[in-house]
Amino acid sequence: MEHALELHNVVKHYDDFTLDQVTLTLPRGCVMGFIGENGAGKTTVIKAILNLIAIDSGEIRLFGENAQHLPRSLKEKIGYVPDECCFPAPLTVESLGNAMARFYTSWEQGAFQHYLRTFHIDPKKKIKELSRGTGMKLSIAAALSHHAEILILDEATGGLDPVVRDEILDIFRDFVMDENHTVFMSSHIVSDLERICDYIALIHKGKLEFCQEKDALLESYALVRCDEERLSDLPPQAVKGIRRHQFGVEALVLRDQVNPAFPMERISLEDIMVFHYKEEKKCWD
Amino acid sequence: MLGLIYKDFAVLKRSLWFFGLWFLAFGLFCGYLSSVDFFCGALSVFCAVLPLTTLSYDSQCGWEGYALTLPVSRRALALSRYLLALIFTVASVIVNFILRFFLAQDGSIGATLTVVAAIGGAALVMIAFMLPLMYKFGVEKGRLFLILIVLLAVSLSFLIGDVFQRSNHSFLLQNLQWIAPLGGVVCFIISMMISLRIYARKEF
Repeated sequence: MEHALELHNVVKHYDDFTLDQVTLTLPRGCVMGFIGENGAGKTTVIKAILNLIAIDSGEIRLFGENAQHLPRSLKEKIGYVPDECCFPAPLTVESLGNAMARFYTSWEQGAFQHYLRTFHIDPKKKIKELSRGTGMKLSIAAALSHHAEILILDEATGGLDPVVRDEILDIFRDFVMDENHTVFMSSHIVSDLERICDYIALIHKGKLEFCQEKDALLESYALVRCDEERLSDLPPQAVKGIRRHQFGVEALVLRDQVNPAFPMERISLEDIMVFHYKEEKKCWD
Repeated sequence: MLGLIYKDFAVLKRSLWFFGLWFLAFGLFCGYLSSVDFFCGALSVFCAVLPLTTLSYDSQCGWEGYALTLPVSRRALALSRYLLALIFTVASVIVNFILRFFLAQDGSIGATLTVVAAIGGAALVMIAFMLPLMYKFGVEKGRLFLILIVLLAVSLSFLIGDVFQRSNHSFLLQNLQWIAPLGGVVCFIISMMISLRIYARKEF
């Protein structure tokens, strides 16, 4: 079975930013968390996947087909949730549902109304009367109401309160119970990604730092707390990030490249991210 | 395409009462001036710019980028507003014909056809200039170009009127009821082709 999403050496140049040889694959039936600091290129990658921007080189495939020439039948399978509500302000929620029914042959009005009830969205309200969080919930409801096989979420849970986020993560978990369903989600809320994701991809300044299975990722990295003197005992190739503070040094290391006698601690996904963002790699550079 | 047209009508439906009120007031004003032709011209221009209202709402919320993630092609997105403009222009032509035929002092079929066709053709030309500019430069900058176009159109109309007075213009006047809409349709088609090229390369 083909992968749900494949990026091969994707490059996109802007004046002040370059997406540099991004390569990742997402198997069907899996959830990939896509993380990166502000301006790292997450939205650029998502826009490239959705063919909203042209790439300069490389290849993107969705369900095995070139993403730049997707047939209508495959576009029906994509559910996209942007980071802001993109529906025209004067529309009512009800008329949005009626419009969406005319876009998708697979639209389920019953499912849409079910999600409106679940998210407590009044169908008679105008889009401009909805709060940011409610607008986001509406976008999610629309994405889930046409038998999508892949959900592409750009900071979809940002701006939602913890209770609603919890509900939505449960919905996403139910969504991937079907082995043909896949989720690709970018988020800053690392705790959400740790709960639901099978794979984690981290992008930093346009470059993909890693794309790995979450559990393997958390097992492969460890945290070493030491002083400057002990830091030099670590193999340079094992050290992937360093944080200095007044009490000593913290180093992100590859567990299997460090002597087990060295005291190592488990590390969270959030710490892995912060170490990669901070970039300071070696004390002797 | 059907979804896009439905969405645009749903957006404009919210403002129907305002449009109705505006035309009632403007109609009374034109009635006071005894100028049906002025009202007909204003109605056609108003209908021609209605797609710009939906384009403005769409630009504000980022709808176009989202729409392209639906089963909608760039071609359909670009052309949907032309279809909308055509629907409104044809509707205004029908309304103008009825109004002018029954209310104008020279309410003959020939004179009515000439005036209504000229106004309809002018509306199509206006849309033909406006939409590619809005697509290329966005709604805010596009509005500035719109003002320039209107000034150019007014200046040209004075120039053409001056030329008419000095020349034998009987051929043009006798055949205006098909020359004007034909010119409008040609401009409309060229405009669509330009817009398709703009949309093919546009990034969202």
